[in-house]
Amino acid sequence: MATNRYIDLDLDFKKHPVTKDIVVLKDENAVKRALRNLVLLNHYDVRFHPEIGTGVRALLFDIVSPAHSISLRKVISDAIKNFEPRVELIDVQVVARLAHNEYEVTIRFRVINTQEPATLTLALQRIR
Amino acid sequence: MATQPTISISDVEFDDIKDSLKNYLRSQDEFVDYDFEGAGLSILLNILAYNTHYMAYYINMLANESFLDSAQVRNSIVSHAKHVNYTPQSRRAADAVVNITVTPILGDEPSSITIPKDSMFTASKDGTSYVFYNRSSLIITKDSDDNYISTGATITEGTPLSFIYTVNNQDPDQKFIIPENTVDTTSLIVKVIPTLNDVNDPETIYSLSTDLTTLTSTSQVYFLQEVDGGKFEVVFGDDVIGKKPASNQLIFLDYMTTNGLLANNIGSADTPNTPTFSATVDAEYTFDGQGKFTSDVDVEVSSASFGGAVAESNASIRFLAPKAYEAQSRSVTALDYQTNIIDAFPDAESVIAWGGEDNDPPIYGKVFVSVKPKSGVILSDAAKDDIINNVLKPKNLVTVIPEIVDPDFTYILPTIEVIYDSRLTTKTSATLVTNVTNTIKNYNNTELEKFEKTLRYSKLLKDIDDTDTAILHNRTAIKVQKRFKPDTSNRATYTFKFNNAFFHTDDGCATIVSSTAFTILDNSAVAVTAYLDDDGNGNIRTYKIVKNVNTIINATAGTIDYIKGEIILNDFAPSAFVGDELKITVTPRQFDVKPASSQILIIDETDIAVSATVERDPDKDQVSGTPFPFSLQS
Repeated sequence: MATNRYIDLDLDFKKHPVTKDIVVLKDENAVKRALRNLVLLNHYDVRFHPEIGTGVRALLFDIVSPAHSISLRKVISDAIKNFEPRVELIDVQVVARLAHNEYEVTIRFRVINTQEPATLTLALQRIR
Repeated sequence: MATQPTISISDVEFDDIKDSLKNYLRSQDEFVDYDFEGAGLSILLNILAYNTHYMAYYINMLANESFLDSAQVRNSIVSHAKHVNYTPQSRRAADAVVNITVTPILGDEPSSITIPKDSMFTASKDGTSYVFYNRSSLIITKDSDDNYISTGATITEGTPLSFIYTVNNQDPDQKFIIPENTVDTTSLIVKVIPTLNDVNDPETIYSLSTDLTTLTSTSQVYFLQEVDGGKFEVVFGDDVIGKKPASNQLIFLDYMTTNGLLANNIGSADTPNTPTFSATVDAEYTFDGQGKFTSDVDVEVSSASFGGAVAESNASIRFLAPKAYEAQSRSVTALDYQTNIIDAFPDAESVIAWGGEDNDPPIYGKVFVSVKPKSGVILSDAAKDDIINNVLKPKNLVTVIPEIVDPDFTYILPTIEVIYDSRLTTKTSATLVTNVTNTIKNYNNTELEKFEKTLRYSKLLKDIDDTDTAILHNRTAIKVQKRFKPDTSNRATYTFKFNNAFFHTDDGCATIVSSTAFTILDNSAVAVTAYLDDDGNGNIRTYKIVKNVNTIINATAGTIDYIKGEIILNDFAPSAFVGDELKITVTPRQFDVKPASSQILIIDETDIAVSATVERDPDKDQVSGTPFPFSLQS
């Protein structure tokens, strides 16, 4: 029987409808959630480790533009390469959706020691 | 059997705590992913570790602030000092002692002239103007020469201010705080003024409480304590211990703010032609039944300003509070004298005291105190009188006479050659020389210039070597020097106690004494330029230089004791000398120079001789530079 290699807590802390326990995320889903957390981490969010994070909030402060897509792509790629060893990064695409005032981030990756590529899509939008 | 996982509880660093939690999680299989920074579990671990770290830091600080020795926050230190009845020193205003000559309007000859309290006397130092005030009115009577001179008047630097509170006993939180943190609390006068419509209750002056055991419910005293921001609060009694002012009475605080230390040593260059102080005074007098004023006031400095000091530092409170408690406001042991003087005279940088029985020669019934002030090298006579009369005598045993003696300065003359590898630095030799000179100045400031501070030769050498990584080693020679101003009018005997043995291999060896030039009568009664040296047999000689040859004038001008480290000049009568002081320089026997009781070792910046030599060839270097002069020293 296959064993789950990665098991993580869901920080939404949803209750499992059957077991009544906290929902856990497994394998690819666990890695995807970790990637999302990593992208949304700001520098200095982790105490004493300001190097961890992407700083996307600072970039989102400016008006959405294709030029900023390049910066976002770089900081997200760097953060994943540096702090998510479970992932073999294939590609990061950031598209500025000017009409929606948001960036669509598509992270294509492969979990280490697996063959199937996976895709995580995030919409980054200024909330204020 | 697997080892039971544990969580270390002694870690206080964030990373250590998190590692400890990870190690614990590794021992079970419910949770994984804790090693990946983006994982939810890792984020939870961050929160747990930070919370633990925060609490550890908080508790550490809490423990630190709970003890006088480790407290860092000023309020905590002051609070701990309060437990041992110690009030930190505020700033102290500098006092100058002056002679004030007042000239009335031509033709008037009043019997007395009054200089009102808080008249202004202005002086400047380093481009900054300082204002002094007389804190009490001066009444000057006509002397036998028909002059009006106030001799020995004390004027104090600062600004006189006052502040008024109205007492409201219904307000439990009312505080009487002096609103300036530059106040000199020794200038504080606290008056309690009755309500204006109560003519039967006169104005009363409350005094600072110094002895709790004598207080009653009617004692008109106040207590003083430091509060936030270095300000001071006046606290009154509770009608059980000390009288409590009634509601609607006015609390009148009269005090001075001051520049403290900055205003010291004003007036040291005072001369009749260039007076230091200019007075803005309307001196009052009555003549022929008319009240008159004169502003014709001249000020002559008798003693330059002294005693100004900054507010007491945290380190000083930590040091002095327990010792003040130990001394119990009494001067009994030698340490009590030191503590009480530093406590009451903040301008004192270093103090030492010793009983007369330990003096050389012994003088029983006396205690000797020597004080090195922060400003200058010796105390003025006025400062000495101030310490004896106002600090020591009130706390002294009645049968013991305190006496303040000037520190006995012995100058250290270092001659240094540093050998450096020019490939290891881009600095020039001149820069290295400057840096080494600064190192020696720093050594002087931190390791010398205080009582009981020994010159540690190896420490000095290490500091010089550590000045720059390019310095390979150094050759340092030490000489010791005494300076004095001989009487140029009368013959006198002078004794110089170096208190360290002199370099002396055997009788008749080469001279180790040298001096600066002075003028003396030679054997033909002709005034010649002369110098001092020794004959290697215990005699000090005077000699003159004739055609580059030393010619002895007096082969027994004095004696030298090589073991005790003492030189005596008998009937020494120079008519002049070069420079401000005559200097006698000797080579000591030991590398380390240890001071005796009132002795202070000091390096004069102008005496530091440094040279830098590049080491190009190790073989050549062995013979380069100045020959080491102490090869025979033990």
